[in-house]
Amino acid sequence: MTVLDARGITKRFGGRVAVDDVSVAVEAGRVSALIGPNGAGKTTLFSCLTGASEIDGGSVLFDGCDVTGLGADERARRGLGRTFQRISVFGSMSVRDNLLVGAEATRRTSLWRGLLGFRDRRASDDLETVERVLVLLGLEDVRDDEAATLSTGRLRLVELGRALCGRPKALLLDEPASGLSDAETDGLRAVLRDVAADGVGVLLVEHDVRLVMDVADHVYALAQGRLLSSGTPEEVAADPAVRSAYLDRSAT
Amino acid sequence: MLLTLQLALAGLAFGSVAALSGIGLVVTYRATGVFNLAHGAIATFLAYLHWELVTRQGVPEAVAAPLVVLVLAPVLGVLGYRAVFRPLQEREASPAESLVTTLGLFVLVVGLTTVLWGTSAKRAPAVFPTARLSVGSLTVRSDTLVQLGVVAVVAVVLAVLTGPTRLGADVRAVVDRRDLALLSGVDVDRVNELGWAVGTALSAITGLLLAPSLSLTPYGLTLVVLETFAVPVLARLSSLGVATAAGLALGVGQAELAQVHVTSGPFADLYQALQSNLLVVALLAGLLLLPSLREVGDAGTARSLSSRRVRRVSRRRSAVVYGVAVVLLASPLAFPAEQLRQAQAVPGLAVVLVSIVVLTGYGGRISLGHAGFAGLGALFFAKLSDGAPELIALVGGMLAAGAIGVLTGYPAIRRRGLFLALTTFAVGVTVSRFVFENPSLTASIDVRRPTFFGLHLSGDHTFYAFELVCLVVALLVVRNLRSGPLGRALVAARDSEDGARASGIDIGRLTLFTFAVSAVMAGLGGALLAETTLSFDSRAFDPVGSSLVWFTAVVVLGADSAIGAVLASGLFVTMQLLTGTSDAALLPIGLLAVLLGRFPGGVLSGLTALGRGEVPTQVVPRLSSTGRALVSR
Repeated sequence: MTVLDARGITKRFGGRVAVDDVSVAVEAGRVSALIGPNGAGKTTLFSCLTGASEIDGGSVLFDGCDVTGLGADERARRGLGRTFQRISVFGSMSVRDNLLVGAEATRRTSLWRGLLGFRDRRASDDLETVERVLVLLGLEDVRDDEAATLSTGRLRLVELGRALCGRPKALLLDEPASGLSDAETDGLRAVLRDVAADGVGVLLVEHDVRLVMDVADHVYALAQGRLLSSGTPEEVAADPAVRSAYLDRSAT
Repeated sequence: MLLTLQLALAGLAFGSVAALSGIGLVVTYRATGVFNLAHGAIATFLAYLHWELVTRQGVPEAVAAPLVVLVLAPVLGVLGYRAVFRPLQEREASPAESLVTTLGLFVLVVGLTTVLWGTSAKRAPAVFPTARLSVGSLTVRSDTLVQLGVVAVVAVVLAVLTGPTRLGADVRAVVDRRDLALLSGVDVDRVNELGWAVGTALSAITGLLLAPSLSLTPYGLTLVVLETFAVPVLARLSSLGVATAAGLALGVGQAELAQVHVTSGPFADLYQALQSNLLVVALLAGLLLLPSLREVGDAGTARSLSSRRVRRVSRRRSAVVYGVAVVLLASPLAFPAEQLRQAQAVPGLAVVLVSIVVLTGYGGRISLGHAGFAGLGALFFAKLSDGAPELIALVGGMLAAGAIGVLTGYPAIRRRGLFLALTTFAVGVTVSRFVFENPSLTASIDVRRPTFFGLHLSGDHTFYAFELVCLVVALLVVRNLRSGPLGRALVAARDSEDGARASGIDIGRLTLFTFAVSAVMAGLGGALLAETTLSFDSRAFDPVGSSLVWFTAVVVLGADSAIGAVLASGLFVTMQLLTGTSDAALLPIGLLAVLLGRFPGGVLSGLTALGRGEVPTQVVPRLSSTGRALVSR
């Protein structure tokens, strides 16, 4: 089942076309990957999918609804989780609270009820979710640490955890493995498989070609804002256009 | 036609001063990245200094003005940079911190002015000869011509200096990336010192030229200079040419409004207010309507104003702190009514200050217009209580303040830092000028204390107890704002807006909510203040003497510390009782705010950190002398 379906996405900055008529689809229960050389438009396409920036053409369907005009927060509440290339955790909060925000904020909590001090009825469900995700990501030992004190690798996991706590239908990860050690990357690989096995559709932007070849079921290759090729990892890797645009260049 | 020309010539006199003030602000901003909110206070201080030299010390006028403008002012500017702003830049403080520091400088300089010269009005000497020249049937004042000449020379010289020259490039480099400029051998200190020297000299000219036409008072002249903020805003803080044109045009426009008389009809008061407040309207309109107002460098949030971490205060300690506070606040109840009356201002002001904590400490937004919200609460309460039960009137006042708060909050969804600060300031000044000082709205207001389900609160003791209940409610609201999902959402939005949005937090809704809560609370505090004095006094809700000073006091004591806000209220009232003037608190508050760069997070959290043995150390990226020698040619 296609959970995220983006058709003909176009994004311009002034006269420059950063993303040019690109269509991608994220299937539930499968891992898709977006690859391409620097400046190919991966992160821009990502912001168009998550609603962080408005698009100049095309449409985004999420979970069967047109979400093209909706903001990032509304898409998140509907179950579109994401992480950032530039880590955006809540530095002054504990790891546990970071995850708790992810669990709570996907519901539109009543601000006025909070102001008057009413308890949230689903607080215990949230805590349960958070504990489960902490264990899944191996973050139990730092649950009470202030997020700003953690290493990059751990922070990427915190961000991933925050997204997972929102019980996403689709998960968009922007370079989740950058800054991770080999052992941490192995752990991430296992987590991604688990998440997909739970029926979540995953889309990742990644420079680590090995990780992509390893976990992705489907690969989209982007260059200069256009979709160059798509298919299984093997097909894309064998595509001469991709080789010349990306793989060869990254080898030099 | 003749009248139009004559008025235009008269308007150019003020217009040229507004242009000079605006140019000074733009130059300092472009060279140092700091928008100097203390510009008006410095202008006033230097105007007083000039008055002192000429009137009291007998310095000849031909010497005094050049001495102040060309020597004393630049020296003060450079000293101010070295003592206050260089340390901030070296530790790469956020623009919000720089902004608060200029606010601290403002409070400090106003305090210094009142301490040195008092608050009674002085007659300032004219700087240029004021002969009247006749051209045909038009009369021109000679000083206007000289002023226009000064504007032309200043604008051209500065435009050349900051334009496509080596110095101009250095200036832009320093403002964009101080560290990189330093590494590429730009003399960062020289560029900054030049920016401050020129800016202060221009503020001196502004003060000296404006003072003779107004009477010289600490707040009066300062506010007039603050209104010229319209000029740099219209110039989008970048174009000296636009600043010059905008200053002159506003001056002429203001004068031309005198041509039309509207003496009756529903808009007569409004029009009369507009006649003397065109700059305020231009400031607000410019801030709301101009697209692409962008700060240089990073757009700062107030995140850095509150302490760095969500402190986990032990339950026992916070119980002790609140216990002491409750005992202190409740103790006046044991006094006879006469003494008790003097303490009645404390809870009301505390509620207003706590409302600033809500917005700045928890919402991460700067507000320089809170006296406007508080005053609206007071005014609407007073008006409504004429016909409605007082309690309903109180709620009405709070809702009125809340409505304006939400309107002010709209720009805050997209704007941060400087432009939001200016917008809130402009809202505050507009409300003050068009509502609080509108005689048809505020004349003969009768303020009564509420009746609460048959319980009369007119007695001093019962009213004080009622005030305390209101304060406790405000503090409970604050507690709820920092706990539970709501508290986490606020901290999340403050720490990372992108991250918050990606987690499903609606930043716009949250911002409006915070503004609404804060303004409603400020309205309550304002109404309590009016009930304390049993009158509505527009001076109690002054956009300069109240808004700016209150905000600075709150930030100094820790923007996210509600108990600090209560303490600040106590200090204000105590100082006023001890010295008989509300200006006595200015010097210490200003001094502490200027030193905020060394106490990030406010004095209270700085002191607690010191008490725990943590010395707040900052890693300062700075080149050694060898390094500097290596990189500079």
